[in-house]
Amino acid sequence: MTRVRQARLLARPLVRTVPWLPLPAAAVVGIGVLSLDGPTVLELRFAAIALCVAAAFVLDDRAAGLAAASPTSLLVRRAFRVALVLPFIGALWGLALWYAGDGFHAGLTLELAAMLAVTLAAAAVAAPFTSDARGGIVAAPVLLILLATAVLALPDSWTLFAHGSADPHWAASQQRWGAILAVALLTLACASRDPCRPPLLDGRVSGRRC
Amino acid sequence: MALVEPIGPAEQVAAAPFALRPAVLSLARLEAARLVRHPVLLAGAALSVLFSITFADATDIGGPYFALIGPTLLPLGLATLVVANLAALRSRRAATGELYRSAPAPARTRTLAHLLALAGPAGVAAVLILGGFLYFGAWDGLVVTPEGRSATPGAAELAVGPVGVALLGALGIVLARWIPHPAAGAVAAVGLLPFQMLFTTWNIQGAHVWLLPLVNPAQTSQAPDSSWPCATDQPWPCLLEDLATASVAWHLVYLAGLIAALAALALLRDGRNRPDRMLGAAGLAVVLVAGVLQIP
Repeated sequence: MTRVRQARLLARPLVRTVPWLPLPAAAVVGIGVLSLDGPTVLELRFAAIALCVAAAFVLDDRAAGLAAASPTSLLVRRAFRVALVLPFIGALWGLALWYAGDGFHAGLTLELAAMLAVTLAAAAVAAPFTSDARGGIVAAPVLLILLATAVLALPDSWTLFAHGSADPHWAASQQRWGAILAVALLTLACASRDPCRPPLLDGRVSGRRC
Repeated sequence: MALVEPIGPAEQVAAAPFALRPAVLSLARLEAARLVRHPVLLAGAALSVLFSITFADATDIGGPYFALIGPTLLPLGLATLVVANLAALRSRRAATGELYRSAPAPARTRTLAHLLALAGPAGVAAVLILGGFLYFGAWDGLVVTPEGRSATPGAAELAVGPVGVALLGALGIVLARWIPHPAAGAVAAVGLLPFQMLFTTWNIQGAHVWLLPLVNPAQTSQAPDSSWPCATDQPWPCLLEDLATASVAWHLVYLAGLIAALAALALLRDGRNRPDRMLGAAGLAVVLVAGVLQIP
């Protein structure tokens, strides 16, 4: 069975099991924040964080136990899930950018992508340790704690949150966000490898959690 | 003749408060211990300490005073919101709601226990404030103006932080009862964060600022481009007309009323009864009166 056919067959069940509701709720929160009288970059950042916190629950699959026995691997199932949700998150982010009236913001979009990847990676890593493989309840606070730590603990020369493109730290912070995105995507892919996959080094399967 | 006489509804109602009190207190103790041991709450407490120290270092005029009156407890408060929300949703996650319904204690007992358990995080906040008081040597007075005027935070000012933490926890429980989705608490925390940051840490002046749980009592209305607390070498003005200490006392009453109203709202989800409605009405009345009186 080709991946395209798999995707077509999985689309409808995935639409039913993805928790959609937190995403528009987060968008409403984001729009509320954007209506405040503050710096637009900061408010867009908060809107992005709200979207990422809501997206933490995207990998929570009520049917994970049943689907674990299917021929479609965990990595592919999660990839389909993320692919299904990304356009919706993109549309909500576009709405926030339109509401802010500041045009397309490539730098902040990169920050959103990196924060989203960190959140999903945290959810994927936490899933085996939570009941019903629902890592969202871990991933959302983890993102907030990481961001707060970065704000409070990183020196100015290492800041992730430059105040805008005129800030001398902006270019360096964007490079850091790019690196975070790459590491988070790699972590997400590694944590999404099927628990019953063949081992990388030898053929023994004893002691594996599957 | 039946071996066990069925107890009528009247007897059940009459006996319930006395029979349930030990259950509520036992559950509350257990939940409080779980709350204060939760990694997210511990991280929030650590971030609050880090926030206090870095903020006091960066703003030598008024920074330590500001750290003791509550706003730097924001990470702990938001962590309490998230953790209390998750705790109140635990039975839903574990699908034990049906099992609990077969227990003699009604759902109201567990909600009440979750609410009382907020004494745990509030206690952690109080310990942090006490630690800060000793660390900054506040009993000798703290410098609050560039001219060297000093002030010591009063009991009401010191209490705002712990009570604000309890309020945010109560909000988490209300969300769990009325919007039972694990994302609700975290999204609400993110939604609250910018309001607290802009109106408290950045001290944007306005009457609506006093509606938030944690407040900045600095009055700088004559110089809207100034800020407080401030650094000696900052480029914008550092002016402080007054610290609205009387308003802070009313704010404490406002927070207590808000906690009562939120507690009633959470309890009403488990069934409407007269004491809860009276608690809610009394809480709302206090919120309205103190909410007006607190505005300087």
